[in-house]
Amino acid sequence: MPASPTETRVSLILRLQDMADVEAWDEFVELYTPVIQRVAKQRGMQPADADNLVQQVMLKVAQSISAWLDREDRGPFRAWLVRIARNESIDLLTRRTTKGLGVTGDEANAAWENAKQADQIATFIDREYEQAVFDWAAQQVRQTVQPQTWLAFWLTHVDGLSVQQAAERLNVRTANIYFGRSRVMLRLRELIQQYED
Amino acid sequence: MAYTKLKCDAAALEALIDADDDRQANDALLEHVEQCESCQRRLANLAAEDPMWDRANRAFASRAQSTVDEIAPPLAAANRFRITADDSPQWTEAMARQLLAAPSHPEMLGRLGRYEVERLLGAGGMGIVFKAFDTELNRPVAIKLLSPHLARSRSARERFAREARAAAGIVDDHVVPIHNVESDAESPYLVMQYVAGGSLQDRLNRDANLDLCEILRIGLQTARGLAAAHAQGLIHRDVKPSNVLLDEDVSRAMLTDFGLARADDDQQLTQTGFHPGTPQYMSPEQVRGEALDGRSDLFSLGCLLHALCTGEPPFRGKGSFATLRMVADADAPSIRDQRPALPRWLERIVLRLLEKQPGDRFQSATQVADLLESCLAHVRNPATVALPAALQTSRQGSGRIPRKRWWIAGGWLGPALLLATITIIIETKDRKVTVQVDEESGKVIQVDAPEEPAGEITAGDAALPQLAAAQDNDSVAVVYLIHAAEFKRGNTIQQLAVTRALGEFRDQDYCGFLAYQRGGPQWLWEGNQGMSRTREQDKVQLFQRIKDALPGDLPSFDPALQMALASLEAVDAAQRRLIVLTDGDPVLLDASILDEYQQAGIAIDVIHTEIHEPKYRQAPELIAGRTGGKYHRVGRGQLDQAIAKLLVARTRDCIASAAAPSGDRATED
Repeated sequence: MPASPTETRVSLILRLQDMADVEAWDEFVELYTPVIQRVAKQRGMQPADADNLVQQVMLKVAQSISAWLDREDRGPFRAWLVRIARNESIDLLTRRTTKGLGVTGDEANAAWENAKQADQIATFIDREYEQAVFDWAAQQVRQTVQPQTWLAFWLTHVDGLSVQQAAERLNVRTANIYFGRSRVMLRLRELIQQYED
Repeated sequence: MAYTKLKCDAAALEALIDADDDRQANDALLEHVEQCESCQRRLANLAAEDPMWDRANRAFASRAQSTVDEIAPPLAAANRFRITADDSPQWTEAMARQLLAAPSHPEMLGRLGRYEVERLLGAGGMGIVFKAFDTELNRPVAIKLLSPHLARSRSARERFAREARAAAGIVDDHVVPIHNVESDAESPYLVMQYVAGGSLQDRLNRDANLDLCEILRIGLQTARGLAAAHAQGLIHRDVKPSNVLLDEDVSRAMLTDFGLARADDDQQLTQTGFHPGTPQYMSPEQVRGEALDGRSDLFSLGCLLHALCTGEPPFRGKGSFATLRMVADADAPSIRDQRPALPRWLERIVLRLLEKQPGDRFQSATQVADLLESCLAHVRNPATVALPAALQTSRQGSGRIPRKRWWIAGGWLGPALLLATITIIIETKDRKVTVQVDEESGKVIQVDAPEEPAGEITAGDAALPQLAAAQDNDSVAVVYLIHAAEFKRGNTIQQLAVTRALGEFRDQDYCGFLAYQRGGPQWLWEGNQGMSRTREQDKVQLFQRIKDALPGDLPSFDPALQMALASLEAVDAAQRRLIVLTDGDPVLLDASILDEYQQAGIAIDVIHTEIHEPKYRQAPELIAGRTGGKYHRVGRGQLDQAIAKLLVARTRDCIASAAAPSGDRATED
């Protein structure tokens, strides 16, 4: 019988000798779960089924790690994780929707529909993934900077306040806003780029 | 103005935005930046190029400030896969009280149905355990309540109910009995016998030096409990002292907590998570995330026996990671180093249980229990009862208990072992050859053929020529059915091509299987993308038609059909036995099909990989049963297309090498 998540998790620790890879796995789980979840929701799945889908994708990915480790030319672990999770998600979602189509007999068209759906899912996943990366990076950065540094970024760049308005709101000098938001953006960019190679 | 005194200093700006918040610009620089637009721009560009700023704006625009905190809500599935997370709540009586109805008596904690809850006994990853009193039957009970955060999850509820069913199905003196299950309650709970003596872990905490009789008795009783579970097809997976309860009144050890136990027929439910707790009692195959069978529990039993002897489990590293490494790699330490007074034979038993390879351990819990029982009889009465022979023979030297080849000794383990490996059984007129193929690598592990010399057989590819030799003069057919969804993404074009091709040949009644014959054309077809639910019937008709056409009147347009003919001959030659690898698609279930196979006298050995819903599970088994073939199951997702191909390719190689002149066999690689 296949390994349970805990056994999977434990075996991952053993296989990923590089502690950085173990951390990358944890980050990946944190990051990718909401992506799969939102995709599942968008496909009209119930929360319990979404949870199940997350689980299936994670198990599939975990099972593939050995193959990645065996590869001579393996690239960064993170990038590989994201790629394979994307493929597995599409695979599982298309498999799900095509079940039972065989009855009508028009399999060629069904497969064609299938491929089109896969493209739609892929687009949605990519968009949600970008969103998730930014969300994740935002969470990380918020933990490392002071609240008003974060707000310097958020108020001016997201909420659309002017630098002057933000400075008044936070009761700091305008230059602090310039510094603060760049501080945030620099950290965001560094984190996001890790996931985009 | 002040800023004119200060020159623009890009390096200073860069250093500052890179620095932590406790490093701020001095007033002069702040003033300069406030006046100098170029420095303002530079600050932005040093942080990121414009497109990145834009992307950030787009990405965050949809997130109101307040929702940033709620992003990425913790999801059960995510937590299960996180390596470092451990968020199992620490329950206190005050918290537990909130889960219960108000008590009828002030000295009680609360009420649950007809049970008066007395106190909190403990909490695990899955639930909370109370001591309670059954007001109807007037007896003390233990109640395990599913944690409320899990009670919302359908899969957790299902798993909880499954645990209850599984454990309730085991009736044995050494398994804590389940009295009742309330699975419809808001928080489901199960009611068990209350065992007064506490857990074996409590006992070890009080007294690390149990005497030999106690060690043997508790070990043997735990083994009995395991044997009872294994007899139901259940693997406990979490054998450890805290899951063995001691009924002090009658000196009885009882196994409990089947929360992780899994039967080999419910793959789906059991993927629900749990918190790992201590890895000190996990088996190497659990640690490596490999397929498990009952022998995994025997390793844990070895750890438990080691703890009984010395007070501590054998593998204890600094932290989980080190412990896991030790479980996987380190030799088990000697119990006699710590307690030299314990007999050598006991150490041998423990070491045998702690073998890294399941095949090197004892092969069943019953075997261990019987052995320990004999030992106990001997220790209690050395003058009249001899030590078991197996232990006597290896008294001198470091000799271990002789190993048997596991598939001979296996007993009930047989089917479970198939989960780790794929077994191909090739039956011919006067021989039966069994090949074990490792699922992961596709390597042949073992070949079992009657002509084999006694003793260990070399594993690995070297076994192939042996198989080939055994196969000489016989043929075999392998039919391979696999669902279209098994096509990996990336093969979409190929998938479509197959679909279209099958669509064109729709009326030609063939699709979706592979057949192999020695010396003949190898591939018949691949995949069943085009096979609708009625197509399986078509295939049988095809078989029939080929048979009818046997004198040679084949449609010339159809090379595949000719291959099918070849495969049919192979089936005949192999004594009408097909080996089918299938994903369990319900198309196979049609009774008329089975009749056809039956009438054709073709027995079908089914190797079933589960990728479908449970309701489809019966079909492959039925097929095997109805046609007099054998049925094996491999785990969900474990047998993917690539592995199946490899398997088939290896079979083909074997056959090919058997077809080669015997002189060439030695050069086979």
